[in-house]
Amino acid sequence: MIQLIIIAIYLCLLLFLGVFSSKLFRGTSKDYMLASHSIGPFMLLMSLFGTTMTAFALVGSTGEAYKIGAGVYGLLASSSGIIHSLCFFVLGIKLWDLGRKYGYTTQIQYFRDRLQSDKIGIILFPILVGLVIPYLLIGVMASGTVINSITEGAFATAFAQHDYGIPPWLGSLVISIVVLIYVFFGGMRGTAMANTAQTIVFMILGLITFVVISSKLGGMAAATKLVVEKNPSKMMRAVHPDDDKAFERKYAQWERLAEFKFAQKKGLKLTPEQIKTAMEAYKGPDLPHKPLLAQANFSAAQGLIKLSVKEQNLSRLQQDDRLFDEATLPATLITHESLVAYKRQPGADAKGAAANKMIQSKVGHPDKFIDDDESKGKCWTRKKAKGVYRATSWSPDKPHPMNPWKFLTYFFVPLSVGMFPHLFQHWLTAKSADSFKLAVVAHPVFIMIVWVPCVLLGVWMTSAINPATGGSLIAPHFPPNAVLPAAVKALTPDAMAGLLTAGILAAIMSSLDSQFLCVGTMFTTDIVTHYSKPGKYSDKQLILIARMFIIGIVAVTYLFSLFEPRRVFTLGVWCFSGFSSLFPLIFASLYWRRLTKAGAYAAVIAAAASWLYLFRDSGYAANAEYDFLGVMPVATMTFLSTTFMILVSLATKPPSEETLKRFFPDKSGA
Amino acid sequence: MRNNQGKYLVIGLVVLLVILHQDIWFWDSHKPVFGFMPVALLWHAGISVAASITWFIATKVAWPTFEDNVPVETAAEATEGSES
Repeated sequence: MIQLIIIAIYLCLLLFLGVFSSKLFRGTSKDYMLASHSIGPFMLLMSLFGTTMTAFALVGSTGEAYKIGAGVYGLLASSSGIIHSLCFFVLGIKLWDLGRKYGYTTQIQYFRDRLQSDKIGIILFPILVGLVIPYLLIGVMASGTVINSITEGAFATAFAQHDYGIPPWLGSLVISIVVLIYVFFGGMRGTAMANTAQTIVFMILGLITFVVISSKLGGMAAATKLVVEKNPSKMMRAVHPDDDKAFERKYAQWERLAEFKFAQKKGLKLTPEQIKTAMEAYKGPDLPHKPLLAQANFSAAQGLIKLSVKEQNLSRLQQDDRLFDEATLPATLITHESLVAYKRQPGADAKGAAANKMIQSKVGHPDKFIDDDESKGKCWTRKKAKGVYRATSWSPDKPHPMNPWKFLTYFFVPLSVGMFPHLFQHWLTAKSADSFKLAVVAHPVFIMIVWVPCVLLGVWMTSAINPATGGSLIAPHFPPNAVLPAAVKALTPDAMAGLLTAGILAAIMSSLDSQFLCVGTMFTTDIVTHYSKPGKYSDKQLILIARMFIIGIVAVTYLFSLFEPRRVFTLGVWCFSGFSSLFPLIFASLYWRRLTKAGAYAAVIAAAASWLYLFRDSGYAANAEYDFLGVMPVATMTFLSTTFMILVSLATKPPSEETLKRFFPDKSGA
Repeated sequence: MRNNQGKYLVIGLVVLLVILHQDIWFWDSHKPVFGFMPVALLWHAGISVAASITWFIATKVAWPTFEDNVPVETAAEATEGSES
């Protein structure tokens, strides 16, 4: 309960900050949307950094490091340090200057002016808002997961289905409402102030989390030593031979288990003597399904399991909860690679755990003992029950090396910063060009300060031992989004867990606020004001319209968050890839005089079409390992948008002399 | 840009960072450095620090200059006359 109280106090403080910043509000829509270009270097750094570091950086990076290892830092953090600052430097400052000269508030205003095309706004508006929605979704989804994980057991009887904690749908809803309120009260000024405060909060609390957790694990060296011993591949980007051997051993064991359970359904029954012999012969770890494993090993060794190839395939697919059509099963034995190509049944872990009597007998309130017997330990949460089902039923994950080409093409992902509409708006808030200097220089090191501890935590969680139980802290197949909150919950005292959760939520909210404000600004500026007679709406009415649109978008995002969750990291990469594929457009608009209106349309259409095709092909982000021709899909999308932009621009009439003079004043001639 | 030499220096440093980022020489090294740090992580943390230094140099040798107090025209005025 203490965690819940701390989170509630933190949210109240944020609301107070929103109300306080509204006292500084000058009452104009320009102040609401751009803080009257008054943001200095420190606040600009904090708001740009806080905006780019979202759930993706904390929850996503920890979860992904748990899944794929330490190489995840190179995938996105160090590349972002180079590329983000590059974008601030080559795009941000120039756009700030143009925005100041020509009075832009949004990207679309700039593109309409630069390309002398009104309709470019009609195409760009739905694309930009459409891409912001998955970005919002990352934050909304993660906030619900984090609050639920950390408040498990907070209620005596309420929310039993959610382990007696705040349900994810309620946590997401509360966070959305709190952010909406302080954005509504404070506008851009309130957002920048809240971002600054929250960035400081999550950086300090993040470091404290790291120190506390590493000491609970016996120190950094001890935590790493366990990884080197148990999962050495998580320390590097290739696969260690020991991990390959361990996988082969575990997979063979799992195949025996699957075939034994299938044979049991066909009528195989061991005698009590055989079971006793099997248990005595079992030399593996003491797992919840040890009797089954022992009997499976015994039956296989004694040749008691006699299955056809089709039955062996069925045994694997059923054991792994895969969806399949019996009529189209292959005639040969399916391998692990072909097994994972079948989609897993949605919610199979919940159904499986509910149907398993052994698991169900242990589920209850996490503060109570199983059967009121202290020696049996505390009751399992529903999450743990699902985790035990997954760990004891599903096939082990095969370790994968990181593909160097995929690693290289990840460089395209952080280019998205150049096209984030909310960052464009933040750039325009700067007081002067020099305000950018601190952000440009400090951003890479700030990324390092946040990401290195998160990645180390994720790597350690692959092998960490729970000091309270002596068992694995994080079970196999654990949902990556829940790794960080689970570590915080298990390894820190209640009060500190509450504070640390406030830090995680601070990171999430410091991105949501800018995005909320930005979609409202885009709607009023690019649609409402643009298509209505001048003076039709007062500033007050425009702010009201912006707020209504924001509520609509948040409602849509919130509804999406209620569906089957995706990995925060995977969803983030898809969202960023969409923005990255539009990077060539903004870059060319600033540095290539020959860019034409038609070329811009071609780039936008190529980017949108290729994104939609590839996103669909990846199962709408369900396939986290998806690549296209061995490289990241974003590389293909960016290549296509660049190619179409250049070819069509060269084939069409150059921009007018007047436009070129406005946007390229240093160069002479057309 | 203040001068072309500064610009080329920054471009060169960024290209160097991109090359160093593709550290295939550490791909299969799992031994920790300082007893706890995966070498891949340490190398890339170093890239982050090097990136900050590069951008610091950029602010000194390649920072653009702008006119102060330019008259502000609104985007609505600017887009007048564009196609509808």
